[in-house]
Amino acid sequence: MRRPSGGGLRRMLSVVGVAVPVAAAVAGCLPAPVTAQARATSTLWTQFVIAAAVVGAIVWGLITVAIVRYRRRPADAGSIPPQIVDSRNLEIAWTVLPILTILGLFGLTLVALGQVDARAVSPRVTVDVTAYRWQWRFDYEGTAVSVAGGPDQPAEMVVPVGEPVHIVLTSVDVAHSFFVPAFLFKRDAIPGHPNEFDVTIDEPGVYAGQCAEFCGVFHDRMTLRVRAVPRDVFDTWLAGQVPAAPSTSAAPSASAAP
Amino acid sequence: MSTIVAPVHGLELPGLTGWLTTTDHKRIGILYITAAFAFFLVGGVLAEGMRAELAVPGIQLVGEQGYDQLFTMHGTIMLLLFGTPMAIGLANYVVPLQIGTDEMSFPRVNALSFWMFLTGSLIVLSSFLVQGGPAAIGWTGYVPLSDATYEPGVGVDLWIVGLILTGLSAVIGAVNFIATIYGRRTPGMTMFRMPIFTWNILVTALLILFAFPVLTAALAMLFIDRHLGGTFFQPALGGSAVLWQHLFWFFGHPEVYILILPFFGVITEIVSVFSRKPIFGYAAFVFATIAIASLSMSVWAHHMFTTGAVSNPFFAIASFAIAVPTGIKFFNWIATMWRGHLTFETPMLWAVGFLYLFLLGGITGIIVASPALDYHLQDTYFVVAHFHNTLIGGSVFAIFAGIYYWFPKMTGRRLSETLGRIQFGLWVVGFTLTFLPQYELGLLGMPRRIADYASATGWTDLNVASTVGAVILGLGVVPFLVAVGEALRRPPDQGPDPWGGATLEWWADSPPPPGNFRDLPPVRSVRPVFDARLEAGGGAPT
Repeated sequence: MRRPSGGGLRRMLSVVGVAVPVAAAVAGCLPAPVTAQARATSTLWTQFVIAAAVVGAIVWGLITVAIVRYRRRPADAGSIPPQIVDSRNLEIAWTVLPILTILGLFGLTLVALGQVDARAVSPRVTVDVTAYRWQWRFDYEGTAVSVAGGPDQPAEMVVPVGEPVHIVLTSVDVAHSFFVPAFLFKRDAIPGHPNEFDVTIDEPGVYAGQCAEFCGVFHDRMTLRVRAVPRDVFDTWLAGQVPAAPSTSAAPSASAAP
Repeated sequence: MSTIVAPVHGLELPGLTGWLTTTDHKRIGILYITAAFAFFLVGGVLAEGMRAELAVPGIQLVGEQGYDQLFTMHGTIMLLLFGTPMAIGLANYVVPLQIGTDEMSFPRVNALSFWMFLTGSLIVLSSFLVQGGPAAIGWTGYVPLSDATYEPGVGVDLWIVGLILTGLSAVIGAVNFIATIYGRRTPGMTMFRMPIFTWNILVTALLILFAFPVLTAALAMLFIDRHLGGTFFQPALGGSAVLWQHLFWFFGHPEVYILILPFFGVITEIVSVFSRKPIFGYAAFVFATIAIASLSMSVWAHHMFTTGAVSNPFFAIASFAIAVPTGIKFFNWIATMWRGHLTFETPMLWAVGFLYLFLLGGITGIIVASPALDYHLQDTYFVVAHFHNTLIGGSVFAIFAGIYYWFPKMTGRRLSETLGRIQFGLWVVGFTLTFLPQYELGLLGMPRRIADYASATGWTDLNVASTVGAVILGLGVVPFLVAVGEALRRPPDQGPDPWGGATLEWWADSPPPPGNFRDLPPVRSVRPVFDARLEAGGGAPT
């Protein structure tokens, strides 16, 4: 058996040795942003990770120094350490510095939030997204086009790139959440509480998403896709859609689910 | 040295009858701790089931419905049947001793608290035995999913009724603690000579009084909606689904501080004793605790940033603000260790582990408190990793610190240092391997509460790692159980003060007799036992 203090210290140091590279790895592992809004979020993430690394290095470092340097040694036997109880200056310092830190982080948050929550004045495309157990329906405002997912056909929302797309999000049964990781964004679909947001996709592509608010037994299968295409392709696609038959009920019955 | 003659106590009956009829705060404390730990094992088994299902893509083990029931009951059990009562159990045992009294203010109310808690808990667990099984609504019980249309089963009703009972138990227990701490401190122990653990229990009790009645009310409203034609939460009939989220989190966020403030107190006591130094910044600790509790009442809607129904900047800055008093605690813990003579017996080992791991939980808490980042991270595994980081790397590590610390007081025996170190090693490794991958899974976009994921997502490797970590955590419980069994087979051999403690519980015999103290030292500071030892010429502790 190792000496109690030495063994504990080595284990503690090994925790730090694991935590630091893992934290660095995590910092770089946010999905690449594909929307204008996500770029703001991604920048904010980097700023927060830097702040976190600084705070972590200081505090973990001080803890490590304390447990290494001030462990009891044979020479300490029979004596007691200095019985220091407080320091007004230190207390002021470690109250003020965190206050300044969080004010800075709050400022950065407000900047990013302003960009993420911003609304276009007159978006050319508005999609009414309806969540229901356990599918999605996309109705394109100003057209009769309505796209819904089915058992063998995942719900796919086709939108143009390079311009703001306005989304109006509702639920007809329980709470759901519209989440596309590549957008670094989600918004809840709550019955009786419609939500609206804009998304401006930069790069054409197909982006996977899924419901993020637990909504019952097939929550894990409530997936969706967003296909972002150039404007002319979008226009062609929209024109080629067969208008949906007049809908008799807001949501298919549960048996129509995946 | 003043002398207090212990009053004559009611006869404690022998054997099992004694445990069933006891009003002794120490026995009730042990009942709480034992029951809460048993529920911890149940909740842990459920978690292992979840990790087994998630290890690889595909539905292998419990199915989607079964998985939903597992995470609902895991969360409910860990927060309300384990975490909260474990804090109450430790407080029951320790607080009257720390303030130099013989009993709680209302011993029979104290017994009522425990038996209500146990009854409510068993009602919640009994849902495993009914047709349809337990609720599958998440521990947050969001409407409309939890209403009679979508979850008609009796499992939800048992969940509601059981939690109302445990909530009432917590409230009357809180009243008892407040009365005891205000009214039964020994002469000389002013408020600002109270041990920090006792201070934190006082503040926690106040927080329980503010938070738990809101949960009780919300659960009653849900029951009315389900069975009596109510429409509180039904948007189609004029109610509001968002209202439930407000009520639930108005309880739920103070609840997470109910689950950490007592354990901040445990860590503060242990760091001071094993550094052979007084608590650095005693007053700062007290005010930081009060600040955290106050702020915790005004941050609930940071759980609702993605609802589009709340003022995100307000709840962001209020949540950020909690970092300030928490940071003050961290710096004061470090300053307490600074220039001390540190030794790393098991209680201190867990406390140092707490300092390292809880810091990460605090830092990631700031990240999810930023609404723009939370738009991505909310309801993903990042959030799951964050709160397990605070509740395991924080609360559970501190619980084990406290159990190793006070076990000699409760039983007269020390737990094996060897087994304790093995358990600690397994838990550090198991915790790291379980939850660090979950942070990354959340960043990649894996939502929580899903029973399955496609292999095309690329989430498999991280999930395998997380499941292996969960197995190590599970194995880590074994040395602890062995250590407890081994210790209890030995004859008691511990004196009043095995660690060189400073607060009054280390003056009483181990374990203390009914009535607790034969006599008491004068209380002239936060550390009466240390003062007495110094006066007796034995300043250098063990």
